[in-house]
Amino acid sequence: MKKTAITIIAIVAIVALLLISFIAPYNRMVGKDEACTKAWANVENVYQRRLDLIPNLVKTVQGAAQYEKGTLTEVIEARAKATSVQVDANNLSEESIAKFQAAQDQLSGALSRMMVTVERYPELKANQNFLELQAQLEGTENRIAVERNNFNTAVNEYNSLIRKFPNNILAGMFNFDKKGYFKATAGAENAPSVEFNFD
Amino acid sequence: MKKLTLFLFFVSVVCFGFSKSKSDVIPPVPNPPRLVNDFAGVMDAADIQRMERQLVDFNDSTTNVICVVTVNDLGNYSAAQFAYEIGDRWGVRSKDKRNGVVILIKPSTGHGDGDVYISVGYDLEGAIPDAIAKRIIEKKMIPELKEGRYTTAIDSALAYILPLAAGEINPDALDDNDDISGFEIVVAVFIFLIIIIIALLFSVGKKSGGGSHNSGSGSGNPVYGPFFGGDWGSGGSSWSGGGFSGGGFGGFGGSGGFGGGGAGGRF
Repeated sequence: MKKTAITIIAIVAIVALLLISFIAPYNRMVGKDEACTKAWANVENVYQRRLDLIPNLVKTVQGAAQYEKGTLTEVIEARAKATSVQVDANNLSEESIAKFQAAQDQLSGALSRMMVTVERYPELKANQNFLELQAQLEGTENRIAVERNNFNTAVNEYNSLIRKFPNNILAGMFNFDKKGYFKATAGAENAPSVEFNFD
Repeated sequence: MKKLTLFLFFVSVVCFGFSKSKSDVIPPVPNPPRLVNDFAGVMDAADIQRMERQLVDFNDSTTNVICVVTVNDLGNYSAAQFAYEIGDRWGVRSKDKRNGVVILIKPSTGHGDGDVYISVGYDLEGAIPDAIAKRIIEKKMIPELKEGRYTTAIDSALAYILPLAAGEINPDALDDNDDISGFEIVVAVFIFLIIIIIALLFSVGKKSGGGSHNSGSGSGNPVYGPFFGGDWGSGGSSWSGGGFSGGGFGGFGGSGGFGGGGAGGRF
């Protein structure tokens, strides 16, 4: 009788200890998860900023460059597609990030093609309104790069946290899934050129 | 054994070379913290001192942190990334506001083309929008930079950036007629004359000739002040003498102040 009581107390104590020891890792995972959600909100924000710029940009270019219908249509279509691909902040899985990135990268490509054709129209390059939109677009692209990078850092911290022991057990129990990264775009204009400096 | 040493040597060279080209290109935070950092060596010591003083004073009065950096090599970074990294790693901002600006110049004498970038912290993005930063670069900096007048280029950029950051002028001041029109001068002179006349009438009326002449100083319009000569106070202070009596720059605030705002150009 006394023995069983001691055993029960011991088991309860061990379970309690285990549970307590899980609290801190669990809370840490929640914190990192929230950091990813926040970083994602910033990413969406800057991409939205670009989407908002495009109608004005297209309108300005349309006035001067009537012959470039094809490139303009491409931008408009890519924008429509990018607008339709939305990611739920609670499901930042690899597939959904990849899908989002694919749509946005297509828009980046269409935009950069449009900006290249614009070089042929001197009256556009002298247009104050256009120059301003161009500067805003460049700034937005830089902001996108920054926020993507911040998001990747947050995801990296989160992903490596949930894979560590004993967090991985908890992560499995409470559905902390691995999150997706932004990948460096193939053939991106801003891909860093790797060079070895031996001096 | 020899092979192993050779291999290790090669690995270390590759690693060192790689890490150097990838991360060490960004200079470490200057110690003591300075706001004007001429790593490329394109400015005179006297100009650096004067500019530092100007920026420290500006920091004291507005808490905005404007940092000027010149480098000879951007490594694998674009000018935008380089300026962002400096702002983020050095922590160009004040403690409680994300109010930093990094003006980065890579002279054309270095490796490759000349590059200039103005990186604007989150809280100043409203005061210095990208389009305005672009105009400052295109209209004020690049013409000077092309001639190799780096100090003039930075001074003329600061003449716009400081008042913008302080919220003293609105961005439209950089419109095409950015210099003061003749009409505005006429109006200013006219107002000044009226004030003088009134002051004179008063003093004549009182037959005392008192000190009311000072009221004329009201026409020293703060909006146009910096645009006349771009000479922001602190005339020809003899820098070699007393040094910084008011103390140098207090230090940077911390990371996370930049989000990629700003604009750049090539020359």
